Amino acid sequence: MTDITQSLQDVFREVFDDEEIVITDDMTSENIEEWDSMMHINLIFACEQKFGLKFALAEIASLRNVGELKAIITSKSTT
Amino acid sequence: MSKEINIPEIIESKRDQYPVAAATVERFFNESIVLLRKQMEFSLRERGDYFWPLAEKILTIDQNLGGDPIKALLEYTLAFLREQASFMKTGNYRYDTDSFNDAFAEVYDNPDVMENFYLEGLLVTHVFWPIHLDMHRFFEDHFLSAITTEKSIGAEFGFGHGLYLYEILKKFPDTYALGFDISKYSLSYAQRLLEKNGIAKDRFSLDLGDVRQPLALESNSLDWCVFAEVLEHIPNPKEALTEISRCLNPNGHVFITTAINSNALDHLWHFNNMDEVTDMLSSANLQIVSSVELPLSNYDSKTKDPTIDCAFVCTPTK
Repeated sequence: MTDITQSLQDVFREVFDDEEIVITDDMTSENIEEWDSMMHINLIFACEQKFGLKFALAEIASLRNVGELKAIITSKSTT
Repeated sequence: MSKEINIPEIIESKRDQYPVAAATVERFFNESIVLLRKQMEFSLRERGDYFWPLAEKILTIDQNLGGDPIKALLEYTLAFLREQASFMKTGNYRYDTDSFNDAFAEVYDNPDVMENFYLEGLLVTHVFWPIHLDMHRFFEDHFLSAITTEKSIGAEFGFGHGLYLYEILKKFPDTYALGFDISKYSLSYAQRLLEKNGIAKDRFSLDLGDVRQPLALESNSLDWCVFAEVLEHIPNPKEALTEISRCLNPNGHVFITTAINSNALDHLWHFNNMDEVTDMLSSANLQIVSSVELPLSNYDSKTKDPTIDCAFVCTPTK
C-alpha cells in the first residue's frame, strides 16, 4: 500500500468513524451508506488538511470514486 | 429498503413533456456524481409527480435569465455545506446578532457572492434540494390557496431571487406586489427575473429596504406578505415579524420560513428548535394557520446533520 493510499485510508476511517474500512480504487458513495453530501464535504476537508492542498469546485462535485480522489491528491502533491 | 430507479429511463420518459428539466437533470447526473446525487435520487423516486413540473418551471425561468443552474447549484451547495460542517463541529453560526454589517459586506453587498452563485444557486435549490422542493409545495398548497382577494396587494420582504413574487403575480393576474430587499444585487436579479418571465412592469414595484427598521407602510394595508428565509438573517426577527403583523389586514396571510440548527454563509439568528420559532410568531401577534416541519433526516435517515426547515402560513391577531 502506497503512502497516499495508507493516509487516505486513515482519513476515511476517521471521517466515517469506522476502523474496518479498507479503501479500494473503485469504491464509491454507494459502498458506504453514510457517504452523503455532508460526509463528502467532511471527507474533502479532512483530505485538504491531511495532504495540505485545496480542491477545486469541479473536483469536489464530480469525484466518482476513491481512485479519482487518489489521482487528484497525487497530482496536486507532485506539483 | 428504497425502490430502485433507472435514471436514464426516467429522464427519457419526461423529455417530451419537460424538455428543459430533462436536459438539466441529465446534465446533473453526467457532471456531479457524488454531491447531491442521493438527494436527487430521492426526489425522482419519492417526489416525481411534483418534481418535474416545478423543475420545468424554475429551470425555464433560469434559462430565460441566461443562467448556468448546475454551476450555481454546486457553488451554493458547497458554500452551504462548508458552513454547516463548521457549525456541526463548533455549535456556532458564522455570524452573530452583533455582526450583521459583516454579513452585509461579505454577502449581500458582495457581487462575487450574490451575482456569481448565491441568487441563482438559491433559486435552483427549490428544484435540487428535496427539503426546498417540499417547502415550495407547502407554499403552493397552503399559502397561494389562502390568497382569496381578487384585487389584492401584498409585499415580500427580503425577496432575494424573486421566485415567490413571480409565483404570486403569475397565479393572480389582478394582484399588485411590493418588494423590499437590502441587497442591490437582489433588486436587479429579481427585477430581471420578473420582466424576462412575462410579468408586466406595472404589476410590481421593487425597492431597497431594510426589515431591521420599522416598515414604511400603513397598518392593515396588505392582503398578503412573504417573509421567507429572512428571520435567521437578521438580529431582531421578532420586531420584524411584529411589523409585518401590523401591516397585514385582519384577513391577510403571511408566508414565513426559517431554518433551525442550520448554518449558511449569512445566518446569524440561531433557532434551536421548533418551539422557539412558534413562540416568536405568537409573541409577534401572529397566529399559525398551517405549518410544516421538515427535518433533513426525513430525506436521509442516516444523516447527522441536525437541520430542520420549517414554514408557516399565519394571520395577524388584532
